[in-house]
Amino acid sequence: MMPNELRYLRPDSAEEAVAVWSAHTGARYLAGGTEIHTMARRSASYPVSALIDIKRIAEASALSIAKGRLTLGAALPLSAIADDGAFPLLTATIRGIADRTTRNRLSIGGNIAGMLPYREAILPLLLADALCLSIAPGSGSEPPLRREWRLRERFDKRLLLDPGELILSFSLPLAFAALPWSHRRRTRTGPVDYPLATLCLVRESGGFLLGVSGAHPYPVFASGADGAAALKALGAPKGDQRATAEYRAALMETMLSSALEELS
Amino acid sequence: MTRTSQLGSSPERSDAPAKTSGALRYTDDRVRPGTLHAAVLYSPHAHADIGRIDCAAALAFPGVRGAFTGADWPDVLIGLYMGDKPPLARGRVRYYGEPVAVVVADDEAAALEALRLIRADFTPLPALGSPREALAPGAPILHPDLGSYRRIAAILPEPGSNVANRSRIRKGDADAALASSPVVVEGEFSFPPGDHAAMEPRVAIAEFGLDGRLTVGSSTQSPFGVRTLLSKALGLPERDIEVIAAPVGGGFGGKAGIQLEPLACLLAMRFPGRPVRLANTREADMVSSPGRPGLQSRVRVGATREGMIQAMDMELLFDSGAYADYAVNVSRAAAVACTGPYNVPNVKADTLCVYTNHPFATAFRGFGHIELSYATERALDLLAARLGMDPLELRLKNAARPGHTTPTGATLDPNTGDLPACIARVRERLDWDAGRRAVLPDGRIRAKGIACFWKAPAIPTFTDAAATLSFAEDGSAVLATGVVELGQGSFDGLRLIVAEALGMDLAMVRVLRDADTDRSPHDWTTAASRSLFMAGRAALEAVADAVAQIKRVASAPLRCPEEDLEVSGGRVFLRDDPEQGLPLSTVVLGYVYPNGNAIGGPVIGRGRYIARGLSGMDPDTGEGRPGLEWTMGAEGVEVELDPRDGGFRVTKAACAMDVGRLIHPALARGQVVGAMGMGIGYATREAFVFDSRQGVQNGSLRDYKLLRYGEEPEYFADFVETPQGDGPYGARGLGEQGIIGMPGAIAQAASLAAGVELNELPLTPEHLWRAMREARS
Repeated sequence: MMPNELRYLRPDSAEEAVAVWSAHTGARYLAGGTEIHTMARRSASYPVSALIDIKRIAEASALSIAKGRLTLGAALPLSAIADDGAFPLLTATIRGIADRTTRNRLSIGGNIAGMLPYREAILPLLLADALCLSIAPGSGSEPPLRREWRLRERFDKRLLLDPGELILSFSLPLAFAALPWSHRRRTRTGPVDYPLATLCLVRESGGFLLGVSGAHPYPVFASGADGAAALKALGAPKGDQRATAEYRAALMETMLSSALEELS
Repeated sequence: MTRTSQLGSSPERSDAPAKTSGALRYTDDRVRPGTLHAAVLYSPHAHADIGRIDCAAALAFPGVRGAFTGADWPDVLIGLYMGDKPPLARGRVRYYGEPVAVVVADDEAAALEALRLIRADFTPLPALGSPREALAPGAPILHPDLGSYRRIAAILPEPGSNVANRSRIRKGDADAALASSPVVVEGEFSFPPGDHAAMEPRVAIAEFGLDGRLTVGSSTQSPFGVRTLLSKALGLPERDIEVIAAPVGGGFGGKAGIQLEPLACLLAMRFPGRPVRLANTREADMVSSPGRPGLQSRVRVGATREGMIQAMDMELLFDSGAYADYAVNVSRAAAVACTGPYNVPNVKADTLCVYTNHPFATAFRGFGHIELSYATERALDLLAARLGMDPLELRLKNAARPGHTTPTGATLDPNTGDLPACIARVRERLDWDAGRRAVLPDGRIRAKGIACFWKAPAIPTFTDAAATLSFAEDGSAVLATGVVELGQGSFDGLRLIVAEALGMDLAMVRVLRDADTDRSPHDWTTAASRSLFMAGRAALEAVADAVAQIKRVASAPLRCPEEDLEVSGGRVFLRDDPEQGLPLSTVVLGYVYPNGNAIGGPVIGRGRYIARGLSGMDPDTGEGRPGLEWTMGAEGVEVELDPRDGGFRVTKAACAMDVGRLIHPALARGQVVGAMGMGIGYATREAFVFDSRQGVQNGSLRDYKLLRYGEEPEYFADFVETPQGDGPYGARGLGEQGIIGMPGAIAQAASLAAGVELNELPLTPEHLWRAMREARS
């Protein structure tokens, strides 16, 4: 359960947030709080001494379109992004995650940077070669450091963030959102479950972009002149208590062929 | 004065506003200031010797009042039918999640923090993962003291083995009948254990008063049963124990036995004058507290070429896990009904309750009947396939009717429901005759399945109920029973029965909630779908008693013989001259003459009921009459299967049940539809997944998935009404029955769709995909 003594801090700016993080050992950034709550309930050893609520930070909660780019604040609830619908593949992917009530709490930043291996919302952003704006505490007396970077560059099985680094927003070209896309998602049984495989497929001029979550221990993506080549590039899936590797491989093939059919 | 009957109408549940708004207070909503909180250390091993448990650091933690292990209560054994379970593991843990140590502190956070400081050493032992493993020669014996456990006579353990109970049915000569049957089929059918997943996790709050009395608030279906069992386990007389049952957030049998109460009470006795709260997290509720049994079974059926069943020979092995709890009686109940609702002249059955290193099992909705039904219905499917006969026709042909005998040799009396009529309704609902299997244009396969069920309450021969009826100044009536509200809605059914018997408006009748062993009339247990039947009978007697008292008082001012009076419409009046009468409000607390003289006094109606004509079973043949009233019915489903990846869903589910008399149609439908939904979950997903050392891999709702609202099929709930002569207004029990046939019906439909016999549950898409692939190769 949550410790009895817990500080709750609600900064108004990104700079304040990282400064507060530096000042409190064992602090965590809070948006939806679902993972923090679950982990604290599950394990008494989950360290959390302070929660830094980032929902007051304007740039982390904004959803905007400007200069041909869509920008999504990292603290936005999944349901707000799905309801907006500016990026249909992201909308479809998000609607596969959890259920509506839970999506009202889950933030896109939390889904992508959380501890669970699925991180489905990252798939459309990886395919779109999205940019990420983050802020990190400066070392020593230096001021906080803002930077914008390609999501793909710091993604290796998971996002590689520095200590105290806070994602503020993601952005991507609107033109990408208009490309033909297909989404497939399968679970062990009912729809509200982690995916055995979630598949995001986009057709662009040179061929196909393919992202998959759930089949491997982390999200993977690849491109290829045809769908089969992209699938092959992803490597073999893994088995766990939800499904065997074999079944996942079979699912991915049927899912890909039906997605390709939809795009043909 | 004639009144139209209110039976068969569906007034809104009286607890609907409190439940839907969240205002209703369950047991854990009733924590008093000053309460101590307990936290439990659970075993990470399914089977291990316990080494040293060091609680010193935990005891030193601020706010901690005590830390305890099994050694603190070296002689206490808890059980229902058989005392085989220590309150905390002693020397050895027998399942993953078994309580090993407990910390009591001023608040829950301190208790949990301190729990982390306990050091416990274990030496893992080989773990038994199924009944067949546990019965194999050389298997470790999980309960070496089985022979010395306190038990009731009806339970037959086999010391020196892992058999906690063996019930035998020997009716006719099954061996000879099978040898001479022209058609014989045999199959093995199984599924793993699982959880009830009731919405409310279990909780017990106990206080040992300075007067030496123990008071326990518990999320229990059985306050009186808990009182008796606590008395046995703790050595306190019943008069010194009070058990209070607030409304329960779903039981499904999982709260029918004894659960957290003994440990909570033992802790409370260490801290006199302070309540101690022991509450399950969801995860503990799933794994540490009991779930439902798993099954391994073998069934042989012999029949004529025309499909008349001649004999059944079966072995049902219930996976009881580490302790016997209710599962010993579940296996016994399965013997009583082992053939399903069919006329089988020759039966040989052994139903065993077997210890394994799985989480232990207790009662579950259906009480052994899902298990036996799944096994026999699958065997009938094999028979239908062998005969080339429609599975519905096979069932219709063999349906049990009045005059036939049950496996224990009891004759089905004229109160028996009309199973052929139920089959006919399901046949219509699913448009059965339009074809059982079709390939849809997109490649998916649609298929149908049918199964029949019966169930009699598996209860002691002396199962009782009682009721009192008292009145308020306004002439309204209040019924008190020992029934617990657990969502089933018995109170609203009882309210209708009382209103009907008194000829009173429903608004003038209340039924008291909160069963309390100090205050409520005695009641066996709110289980076995018997509350409306038995408490209903007691309520009718209480009404009759109250009416007699009302007439006696009113006969004086009305100056007439009592037998000329009638009570109805809130009045007592002359039958032949209804204008001559008095409002009940002037009689029920005593009648006062104009000059001030008073007669009578408060009317209190008393009613009671005890099961009629039940007897035990012969230990060698099973002969006897253990079943009170048999509720029968048929269920069918339509499913869709995607042969490419095993994608599978139930699209239609129909149940037709003979309920004798429909008292409250909306509640009855709710029970039946809820049970069917639960059956779909049971058949398609709900089961524990074990690792190679029998640890539970999916012991949380993150991983253990239930059916969601969006996945519900189209439901049809139909009722046939063949009156139960001794039931209240002809009604019989219906709460559990809707789940019983679902696994069999779904497995039949899935097998037909997949083109391969599916004999294991749960029927997940991967399971189906694998079976189809193996069948092809």
